[in-house]
Amino acid sequence: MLRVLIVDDSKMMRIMHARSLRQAGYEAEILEAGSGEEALQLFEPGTLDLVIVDWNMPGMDGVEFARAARERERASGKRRTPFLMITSQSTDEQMHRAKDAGVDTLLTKPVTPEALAATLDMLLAARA
Amino acid sequence: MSHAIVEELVASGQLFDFVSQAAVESIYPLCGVEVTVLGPGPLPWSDPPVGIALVSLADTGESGFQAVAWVGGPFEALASLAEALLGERPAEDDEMLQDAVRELANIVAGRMQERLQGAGMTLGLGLPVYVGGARSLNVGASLVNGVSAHVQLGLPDRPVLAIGFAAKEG
Repeated sequence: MLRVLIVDDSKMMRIMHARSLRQAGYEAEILEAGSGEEALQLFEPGTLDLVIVDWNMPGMDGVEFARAARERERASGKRRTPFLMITSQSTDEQMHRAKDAGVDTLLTKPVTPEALAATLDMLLAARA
Repeated sequence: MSHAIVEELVASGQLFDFVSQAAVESIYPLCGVEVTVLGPGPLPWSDPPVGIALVSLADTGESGFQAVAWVGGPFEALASLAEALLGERPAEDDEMLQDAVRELANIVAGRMQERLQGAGMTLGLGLPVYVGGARSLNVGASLVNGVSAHVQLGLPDRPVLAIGFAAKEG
């Protein structure tokens, strides 16, 4: 079973992402965080198979969380956790910012279930 | 500069096209329902929806330009949207209904951000905010130039939402 951390200030989106994982055929233990700060408390390097994170959140946003989580990961020497960011932000400059912070894949909303399933397959296959 | 661009987009009808396209591109992939653009609708300050979610868009440079994108409608229409997303119908005061409207407004704002970048405006997105009931009456007080599109969702009760974009004064 996978361990997946879903970070989104919208409860509805956390539910929808968890549902998408199930619909894509993945059995997962879901950890939920409503902010970057909460997510950082849950992020233990080497214990997660995937992080799905929103960008725009009150307080610490998704990019700041990704940067902090990657620093912690580097310091621990543990394996790299795939980070999937799903966001409405769509400019090239913003996409570069997310990548620089340590996001592996960025999907711009709206994301169809098929596109999300294909991305999950790619990220989780690369992890294996 | 940005105000002039928006004014020109309104005058040419392009802003309405941008909003209509953003609505269709946002709703179908999100909810899996067909969308029909019925035509221009009144702006929120002349016909306030009962519930509305707003997302601010601000110039990433130093001009101070600000705009807002919104999704609003009567509670029944918003509940139908949320039901299409979640599979169950939320109550009027349910957090899930507000989440659904905020999420759609957020996506519409992202689509507008992309289109306006093509028109020469680089805007950053704020967090979506939901206001309901009498408080929505004041939403449009500071908006100067904009358009609203009425869109109908292909759901059994044919709900109609107001989706729009407008610049703020200043």
